[in-house]
Amino acid sequence: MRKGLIAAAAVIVLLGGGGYWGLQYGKKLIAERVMDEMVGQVLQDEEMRRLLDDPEVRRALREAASGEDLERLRAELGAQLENVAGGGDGSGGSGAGAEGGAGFDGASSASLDAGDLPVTTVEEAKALVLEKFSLGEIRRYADLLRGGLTEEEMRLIRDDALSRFSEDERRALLLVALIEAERRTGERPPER
Amino acid sequence: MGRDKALLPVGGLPLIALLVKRMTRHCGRIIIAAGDERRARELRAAIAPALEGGAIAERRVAFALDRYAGCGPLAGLHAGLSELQTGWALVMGSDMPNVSASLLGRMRLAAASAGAAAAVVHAPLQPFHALYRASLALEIAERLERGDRRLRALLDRPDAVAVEPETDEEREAFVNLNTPEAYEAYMARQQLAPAFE
Repeated sequence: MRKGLIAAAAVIVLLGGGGYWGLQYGKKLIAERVMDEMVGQVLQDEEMRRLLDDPEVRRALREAASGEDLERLRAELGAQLENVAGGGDGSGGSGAGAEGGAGFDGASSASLDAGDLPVTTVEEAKALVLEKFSLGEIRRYADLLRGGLTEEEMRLIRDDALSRFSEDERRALLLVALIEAERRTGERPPER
Repeated sequence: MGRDKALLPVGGLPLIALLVKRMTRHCGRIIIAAGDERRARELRAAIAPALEGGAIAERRVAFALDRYAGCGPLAGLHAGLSELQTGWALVMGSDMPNVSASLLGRMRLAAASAGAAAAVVHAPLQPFHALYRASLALEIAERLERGDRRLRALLDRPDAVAVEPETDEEREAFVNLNTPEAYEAYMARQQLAPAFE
C-alpha cells in the first residue's frame, strides 16, 4: 500500500472523561452507575416488582416523582413498603442486596419513614452518592475513564459507593430507587 | 465549572471545528464519533463555522453513533472505525488541538512498511494521534461485548507498531486540553487570550 493511501480518513473520538473538564462527567457517570444499580436491584426484587405492578402504587410513585412530597407517598404506601423494606412475610427485601453484600440488605431491618429521609429525589440521591467520594477519588475514576473502564472496575466503583451508606441513607435511596424504577418502566403495562 | 472540552473556544472556533479544519488538511474524510444523536446535533452546529463558505465540503464530515452506549472512548473508536469499514484512520481525541504533519507522515510510512503485519501505529502509550486499521472494529466489538473497555489495551497488541516522536512539534501532537491550566497554557502559546466564562 502506498503511504499516501494510508489514513485517508480520520476519526475524532469524543472524550468526556479525564482531568478537570471530565470531573463533571466522572461525577455523572459514578452517580448514574450507582443509581442504575439500585434501580436494577429494585426491579430484580420480587416484592418490589409486585408493588410496581399495582396501578395504585404506580400512580402514587408517579405523583411523588412529579413533585408531590414523599410524606404523602409514604402515607399511601406505608404498609406495603414496610413489608418490603422490613422483610414483611420473610420473603421480601433481603433479595435486593443479598448477592453483593453492599446493596439494600441494610434496608431489610429498617422501616421506611419519609419524614426523615436524607434524600427525596433522584438528583438528591445522586448528590448523596457523590458526597461519598472525595474529589481525589472522583478525579482518579475520571482519569480512568479516559482509557476506558472494565466491567470489573465499574463494579468496584459501584460496590465502593454502596458500602458507604448509612441505614437511613439506604432506606431513603430505596424509596427513591423505587420511584425511579417506576419512571423507567412507565411504558410497561401492569401485569394482571 | 464542567464544560464540554470539544466546545472550548480556540482561535475563534470551537475546538472540534478547529480540529476538523486541521484534520481535513491531511485526511479526505472526517468521522466524528459523537456518542449519541443529541451530541451529534450539538457538534454539527459547532463545526458549522468551519464548513461555511464551502472551504470544507460538508460531505467530507460524517457522524458516527455509539453502538455500545456508555462504554467510553473505545466505543467511540468502534463507532468511527465501523463507519469506515476498510483502510486506515488517523484517530484523535476531541480535546487534542494539534495534528503533527511530520509525525503523521512517519506513522504512515511505518504502516506502509509493516504492511499486513501492522494494525495500529502509535506513539508510546498514546492511543490518540494514532493510526488504526478499520478492520479492528470487529475485534473491538468483541472486547466491548466482554466488558473490556480499555483503549490502551490496543497498544499492547503484537501488531501494534510504536513510533517515537522526535521533535517538539511532534510531541505537541499529544497536548490535550484536559484541564483549565492546560487550556490556558495552550492559549498562551498560541498568543490568544483565554476565553473562560
